[in-house]
Amino acid sequence: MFQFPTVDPIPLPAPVWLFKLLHIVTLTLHLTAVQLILGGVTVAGIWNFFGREGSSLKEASNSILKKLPTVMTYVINFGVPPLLFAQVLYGRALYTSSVLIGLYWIGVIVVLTLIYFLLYRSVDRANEGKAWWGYGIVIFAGLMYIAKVFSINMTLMLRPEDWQAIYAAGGGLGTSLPTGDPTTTPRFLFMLAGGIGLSGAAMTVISGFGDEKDTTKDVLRRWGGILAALFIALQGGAGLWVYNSQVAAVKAGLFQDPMFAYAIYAWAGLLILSVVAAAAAAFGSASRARLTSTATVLFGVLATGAFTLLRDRIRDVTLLSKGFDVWDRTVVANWSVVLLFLGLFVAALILIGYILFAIARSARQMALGATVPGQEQMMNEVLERHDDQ
Amino acid sequence: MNYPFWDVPVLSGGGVIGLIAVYHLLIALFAVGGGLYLPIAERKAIREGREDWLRVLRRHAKFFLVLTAAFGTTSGVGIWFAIGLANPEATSTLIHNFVFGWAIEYVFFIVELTMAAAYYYTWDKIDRGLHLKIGYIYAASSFLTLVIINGILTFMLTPGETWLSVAGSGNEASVFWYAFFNPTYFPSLVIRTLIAWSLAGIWALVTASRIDGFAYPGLKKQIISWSAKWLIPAFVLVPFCFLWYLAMVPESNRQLLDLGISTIGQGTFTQVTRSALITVMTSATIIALVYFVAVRNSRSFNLGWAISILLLALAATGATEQAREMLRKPYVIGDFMYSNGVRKYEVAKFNSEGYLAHSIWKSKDTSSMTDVDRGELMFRGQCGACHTQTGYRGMSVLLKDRDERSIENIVGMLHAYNDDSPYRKYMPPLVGKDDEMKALVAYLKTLPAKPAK
Repeated sequence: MFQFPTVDPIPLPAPVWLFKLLHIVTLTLHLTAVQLILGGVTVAGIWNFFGREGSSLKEASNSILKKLPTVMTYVINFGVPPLLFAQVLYGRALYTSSVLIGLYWIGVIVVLTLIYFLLYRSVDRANEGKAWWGYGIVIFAGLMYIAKVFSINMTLMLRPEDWQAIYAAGGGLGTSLPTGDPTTTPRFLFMLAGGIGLSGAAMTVISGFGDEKDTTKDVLRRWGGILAALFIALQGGAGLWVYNSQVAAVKAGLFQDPMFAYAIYAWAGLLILSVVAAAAAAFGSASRARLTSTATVLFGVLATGAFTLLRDRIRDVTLLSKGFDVWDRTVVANWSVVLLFLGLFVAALILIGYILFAIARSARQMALGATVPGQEQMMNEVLERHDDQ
Repeated sequence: MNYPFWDVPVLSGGGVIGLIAVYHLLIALFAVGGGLYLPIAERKAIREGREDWLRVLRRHAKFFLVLTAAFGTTSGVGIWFAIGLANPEATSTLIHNFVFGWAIEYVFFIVELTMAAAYYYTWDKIDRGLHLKIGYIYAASSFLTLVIINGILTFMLTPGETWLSVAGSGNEASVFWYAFFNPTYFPSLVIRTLIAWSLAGIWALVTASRIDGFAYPGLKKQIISWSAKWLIPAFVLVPFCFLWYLAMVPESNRQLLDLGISTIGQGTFTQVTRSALITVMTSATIIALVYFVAVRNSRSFNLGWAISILLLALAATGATEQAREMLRKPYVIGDFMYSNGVRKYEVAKFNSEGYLAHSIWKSKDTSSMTDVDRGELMFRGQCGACHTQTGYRGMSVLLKDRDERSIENIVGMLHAYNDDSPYRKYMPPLVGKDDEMKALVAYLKTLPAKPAK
């Protein structure tokens, strides 16, 4: 058994199972957004480089790009709750591993700010009809950096046996980026493949909306479907690699609880369904594309949920094998605060849904030829005032 | 030293938090104030039929979106990363106490950022009434994020008697709302709201400064004058609110400010007083510049002037935050946890059982370590939160004129922590057994003395 920092004396304000549920749900949303940004930048950047001016490939590239700043907003905002809940449950390990790579960890913020800003700048360039793939390379490199640091931190927190040596090597500032964990590379590639796959699925969906030319929509649908089918299948292979890279105790632990065994089968099944739906979206009839593309994304997100659950199990089993039982916590719940949070969360989703619905309805009315309500009257008033002057 | 110590040379971990926090506040408070500024200005423009205003506001909305999303959101996460690195023990306490407070804040963030994007991207594409409604929802949700985070920030200075009475008992969750609505909650909320409104006006001046004052003199003057009015509530009311705030701060903390004011004549006034004076001076300069340079000479008011005002606002924000932090000394969580992460109720335990005995961050058994090795661990764990070796509050400078006896005296005073100790107002006690104090002295002696610059 290994030594961990002592647990915080303040008990948990809600049961462990609730924190785990919230963690897994919010992490699923976060990882979905992460995959979309990762794959979106990769594919759109490559298409922007190869696409000729005015070509469908170029237009498809810009169409994807313009959605990425909003995706990035959700990458960050959906990323906060799971990290928060992880700090509550695993803080003793997670704070430690973060400090051990402190310089790289805080560097994530600098890189994140830069790439977020460059996303907006890329959209500006696209709007001006200019190529933006140069920015795309920097954004991609930044995302790779963040993905790598996160992969290392989330695996380093499971390696208390190495902490002392890394702390000594890092000189306190956290300049030593540890290597040698056999699970880091497969986890990293797993996310990258999933990113391109899920982004491909999202492309098939956006091909059904927007005011792009039909040829551009066709590129998004066909190539999106092909990428989704190919890379989701590759993610399955990377998933096997992730599994094989675990030590025997973790592999065995995964199957001890039937729920997680079912989750493995569910994940594999959902991947197969995603691949089939993506292929149907790419090669099937365009009239059914909305159904098949929605199905691809739905299966992809559910598969993300399944592997998030498995990921959580791998962490718990690994930590347990080293003396850290996440379920062994004192709980003194304050349900009034918990219920307030859950109530507000539901209310927020309803509010956002209502506003998005109202926007869609209003935008549709506007697209039918009406001016902005109130604008015509305003313009008349402005003209009258100018006449008076 | 429950966690490994994040040793940032020259700057210190606290310095990293401070830099990110000041930069974040300038943007985050703009998100709150600017969120209200935009729909109110849009409503005014629509009512008065000002299409030219709407064009400027649309540009301001984009600036607002990029600034608050790309820089505000990431720097907010940055503070969180930094506090987890620089003081994991205190961060853990806050998170265990307020995890659902933070979760609620992020619910509001999701609404806020969704509305921010919707507000900009739907400009002129949807019904204007709906567009305004989105703006107001944005304003409400961004204000609510302040309502939540203000409870956690003020808790750190004044956790309140109710929470302190159960702290350490395991029943902290039962008094969540007492901790949240702590003594300084309301004055702080009003002050921050007023500052947010004034920052909305200051940032709007940045956009307004880019209007061609010779081509559109009327438009530029009107927008500058209207934006400048957003500074008035803060400059009228903040002094009174500050007195209200001070009245709610414990007497012991307030003494730091009183001490500083009473010793101004001798030039030895405390850091909290110095910071407060900088706030007053920069604020007065801002109001003067806004009136004389922006409002009175709007036509030639350019980006350089706007940035200058913004930098003054940055200085004022930084100084105010510094004063607030210093006011909290020697605690990171008032009357509960010292700034080095040692809980007040743990002092006796560490003094009898030893400080390093409770740390796993030793590369080898303490018995086989030299005094200097153990002293360095003591320094990292107990001094490093506020002092560096050679940089910010560098010990090599602070101890440069002191011999071994003198260093022993200081360490001894901080260890004894008597009621009449002059250090007690702003420094935590040094905890540990006598041999650990000797080890610390041995280490401090090794720090190279450099002449003060």
